[in-house]
Amino acid sequence: MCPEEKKLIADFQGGDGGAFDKIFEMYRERAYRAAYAWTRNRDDALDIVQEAFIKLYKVLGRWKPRASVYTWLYRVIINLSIDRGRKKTRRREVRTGDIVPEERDERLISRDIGGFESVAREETRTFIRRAVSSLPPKQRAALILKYFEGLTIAEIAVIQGCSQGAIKANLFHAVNKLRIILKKNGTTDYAD
Amino acid sequence: MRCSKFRKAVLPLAMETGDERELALRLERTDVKLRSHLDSCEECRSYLRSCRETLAGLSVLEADQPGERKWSEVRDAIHEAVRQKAPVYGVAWPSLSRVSWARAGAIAAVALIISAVSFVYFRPGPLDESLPRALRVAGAPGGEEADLAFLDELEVTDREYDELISEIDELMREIDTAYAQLDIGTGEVSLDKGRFENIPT
Repeated sequence: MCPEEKKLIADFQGGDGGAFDKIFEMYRERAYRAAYAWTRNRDDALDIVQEAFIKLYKVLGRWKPRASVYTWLYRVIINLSIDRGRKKTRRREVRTGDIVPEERDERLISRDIGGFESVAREETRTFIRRAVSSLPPKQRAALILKYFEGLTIAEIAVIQGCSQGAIKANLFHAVNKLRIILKKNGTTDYAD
Repeated sequence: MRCSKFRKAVLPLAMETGDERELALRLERTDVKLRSHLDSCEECRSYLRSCRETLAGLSVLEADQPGERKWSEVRDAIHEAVRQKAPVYGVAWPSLSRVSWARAGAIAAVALIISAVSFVYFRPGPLDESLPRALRVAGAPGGEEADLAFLDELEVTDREYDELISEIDELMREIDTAYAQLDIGTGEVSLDKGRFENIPT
C-alpha cells in the first residue's frame, strides 16, 4: 500500500469524506479499464465501477492498512463482471439470435462514417472481443489484469487468490488459445 | 532447450516488451539458452511473433476513458447510493450511539417475549385420541363436529393472550416514555424489571 493511499484511508476513517473522492479519482480509470476489458460495454463498465466503489465505501471504515485498495477493487470488479456476464448470458439464452446492441450500434456508426475499411476494422475488433470473451473466466481475468493493467504475476495471484504458477499457466493458455483462434480466422495481421 | 519449455519462458517477454527493439534488448539480457534456442528454431521464432501479434491485437479492446462530466455523475451516484443504503460504517452517518443500541436491545427483548408467549400458546400439542376425528384431522376447531368444551377452553386462552398483549403494550409505552425522558436529558431510564418477570415464558 502506498503512503498516499494509507493517508487517505486514515483521513476517511477520521471522518474526512473528501478522502473517498480522492481515492475514487486515484483508481477510477484503472477500474474502468478492467471493467471495460471484461464487459466491452461502456455503460456496463461504468455500472460495475460504481458498484465496486459503493462496496469500497462500505468497507473503508474498517479497512486494515495491510491490504491494498486497488487489489481489493480489482477482485470486486472481476467478480461483478463475471456476475453481470452470467446474467446477460442467461437473458440472451432466452432470446436466441440476439445481437448485442452495443456491437450492432458500433457497426452501424462505422458504416456511416468510415466506409468499408472501418467496417472491416470493426469486424476484426468484434471478433477479437468475442475471442477474449470465449476464454474461461480465470484465464480471461489473468489476461486482462496482466495485459491491460500491467500488474505483476504476484499481484494477479493475490487478486485471484491463487498461486503465481497458476496465473502463469492461465496466461500461457489464454494467449495460446487466442493465438489459435485469431490464426484460424486470419486475423493475425490487424495493425490499425 | 525443448520448444515447449521455450514457449512457456518466452511469453512474459512477449507480454512485457513493446516494439522489436525493446524485445531484442530484453533477449540480450535474458538467459543464453533462450536466446540460442530462438536463433536456431524457426518454429519458435514464428511462435513468438504470433504471440506478439495476438497481444498487439488486444489493444483494440482498450477503452476510451469517460469524460470528467461522466465521472462526476458516477461519483454523485455513489454518494447518493451510500446515503440511501445507510451503511453502518463510513463518515456520512454517525456511529450508533449507546442509547440506540439500548433501544434496539429493549425492542429485541420485547419481540423475544412475544415470540415465546406465542410459541407457548399456539404450539401444536400431541394428538388427543379422544377428540373428534374432524378436529384431529383439521388440527383446529371448526365445523359442527367441534367439541364445545374445547372451544370454551380456547376462548379462555384467547382472553389470557389478549391480556398479555395489552401488558406488553403497556411495557412498550413505558419504555418509550423512559427513552423520551432520556432524550431530553431529564433523568435516567428506570424500568420495573419485575414486570418482565411476571410474564410466563
